[in-house]
Amino acid sequence: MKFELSDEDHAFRAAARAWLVENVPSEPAPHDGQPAREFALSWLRRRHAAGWSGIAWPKAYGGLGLSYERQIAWHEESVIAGAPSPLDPTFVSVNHAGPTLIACGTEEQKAFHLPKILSGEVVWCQGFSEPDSGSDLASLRTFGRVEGDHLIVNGQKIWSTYADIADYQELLIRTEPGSERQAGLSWVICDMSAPGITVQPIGNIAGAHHFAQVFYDDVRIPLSNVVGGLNNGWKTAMTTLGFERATAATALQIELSAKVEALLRFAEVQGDGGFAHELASARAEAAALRALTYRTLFKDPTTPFDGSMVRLFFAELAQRIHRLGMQLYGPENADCDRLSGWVYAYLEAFSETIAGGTAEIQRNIIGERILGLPRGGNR
Amino acid sequence: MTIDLNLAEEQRQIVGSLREMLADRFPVARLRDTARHTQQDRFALAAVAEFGAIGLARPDEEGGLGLSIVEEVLVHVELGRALVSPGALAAGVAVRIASAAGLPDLADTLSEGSRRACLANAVGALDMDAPEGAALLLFDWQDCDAAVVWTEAGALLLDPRKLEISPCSATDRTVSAGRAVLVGDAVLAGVSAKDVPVARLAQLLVSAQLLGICEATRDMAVDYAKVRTQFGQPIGAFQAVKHHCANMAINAEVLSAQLLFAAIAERDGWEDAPFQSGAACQLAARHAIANASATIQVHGGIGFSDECDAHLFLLRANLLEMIGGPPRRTEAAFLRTPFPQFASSGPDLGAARAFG
Repeated sequence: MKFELSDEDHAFRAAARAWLVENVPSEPAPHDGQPAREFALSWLRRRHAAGWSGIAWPKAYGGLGLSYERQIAWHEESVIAGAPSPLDPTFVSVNHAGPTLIACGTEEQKAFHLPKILSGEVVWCQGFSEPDSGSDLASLRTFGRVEGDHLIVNGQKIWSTYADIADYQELLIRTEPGSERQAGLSWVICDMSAPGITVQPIGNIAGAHHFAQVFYDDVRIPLSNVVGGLNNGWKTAMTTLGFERATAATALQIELSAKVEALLRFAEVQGDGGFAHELASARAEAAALRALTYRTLFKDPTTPFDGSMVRLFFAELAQRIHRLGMQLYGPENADCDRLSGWVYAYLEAFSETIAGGTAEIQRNIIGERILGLPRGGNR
Repeated sequence: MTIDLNLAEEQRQIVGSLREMLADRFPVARLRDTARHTQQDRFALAAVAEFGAIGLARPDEEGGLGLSIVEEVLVHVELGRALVSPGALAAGVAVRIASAAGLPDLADTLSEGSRRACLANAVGALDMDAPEGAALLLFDWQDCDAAVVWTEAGALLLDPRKLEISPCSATDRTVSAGRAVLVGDAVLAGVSAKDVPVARLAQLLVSAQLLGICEATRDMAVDYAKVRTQFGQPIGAFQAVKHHCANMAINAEVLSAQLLFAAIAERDGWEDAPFQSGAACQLAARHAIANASATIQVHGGIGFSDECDAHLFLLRANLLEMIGGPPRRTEAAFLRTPFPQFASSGPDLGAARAFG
């Protein structure tokens, strides 16, 4: 067991740190809408111009071709420098859509989309969930009928984060008539400006409007936008999961330690507010989350990546830590027209136990795939 | 950056053969007979010493195996799984104190198992500069040659024969207990935390044993949930039970990740080593107790019976939580421990109005 930094690592970190100190925006990131889009794209453009975009992406696709370790080092330095949260409108494109295209896309798709993603020109959103297909994703019904060299898509997606400000969507639809479950699905690139698309933002519990319903009414999508083969979409969707290693989610996990240290400093200034137990727990758990993140990322690379434990532990810990922040700072909200600060982060953290597989689904996965417990028919 | 948090082949072999030996010769069921108090876990301790598990982190020239705190932690995880007497913990700590205090013969004999050590826990305050009069609670102390007690400030090796020990009973009925008042005559050696960070090393070993409990109880629950059938299905197929098991798996995984991270930090002398081991210690007892409790629940009626070993793990976890100081005290110490890496960072999400 080893965890060692070489001279080059220190040099990389020092360079990253020096650049971040000079370039991290001082103003807070807007929560939603065009301002959120502009802010996130401008931050990504600034990183791209300085050569810090796509650290672990292959060189052939415009990345730096560096290791996961370097990517993690960058994330840690970003956290230390107080950089904007990576959970912004560029999250899906950089961490999800881009890697999926790299793995399953055609050369044309890669050549067209990857440079735009890395250089901060476009925002992507995800279109997986439907009103009747949440945890049971494979029951989805949005349908794309093949007509010549196009798909004609009808249906509805929901909980599509940043759909209102996105240029493209990773859209998972049924394309084989009469197919069921995981069979007969396709993963397609949907141009959000195509006629027939209606986006309706939905307000969330934190008062932001960053997720949305999307309606498709005879939307024409070229067949050349199918990624990973027609009717092979489930496999494409699952491939992306392999790229969760060292994605920006890692940065969020590491960021919790910095947040707890900030709370600790605040508590010291305030004097003992009787929160020693909660602070000690939060501090220890955030430390353990970081250790668990490293362990998960650098598990024997030949084993399939399974982030369910780290994801679930992070999600529930994030809720505890943000609640503690809210408790320590007291019931006054800083901002008159909207929720902000710890309470905003606290409420936002509730999405972590729902989005991308609920806590219950994660526990099923841990029970069944890791512990080998039987699947239940009667739940 | 080289990050490899997988066990190396040598580490895997040590863990595997120790686990096999203990499961084979000292199954936890040996502790069901409460009459064993008096004989203690002597045979298990002897076998553990014979295996080379005590003092294996001593340098080659001192007769150790030249391994590190990382391997020692891995060994203590196995000792925790098998609920070996706290005497093994005491021996591991005592060897370090004896070496540092210039008592190589004691260190050697403790390592080999020809001499034995016991744990002494300070009840209330213990001033390392004036230890006389401090109240002690000793565990599995009969016929021991050395007792070890530590605080954040330092550690003492005591001669238990010079102490007037009155037997009492412990919350964990698988260990014997005795009360004593520390007398100056009994002090064999003392070290300051500046010379040997005994409290921190002990914290790692105690946490390792708690991880062993955490893992053993997880495995018990999962194994049972696969075979116990109700409503025509193994109970592990039901989410209510499956999710208990998933929580237990997370508890063990989280603790294990932090503990091994802390052990590497200690071995390699990282600046944040005290923080990392403090974090592991904060989690260890809580996760072990949660898992042991959940195991009783998953086993249902049999879990409440004395035929199921789950309660033995539960009581040992509660005992280990108190070793080295009650949780509130370790909490305060942990909050004072700096975390240099993130010390000055962190977003201020606070309300705009700064008060205080």
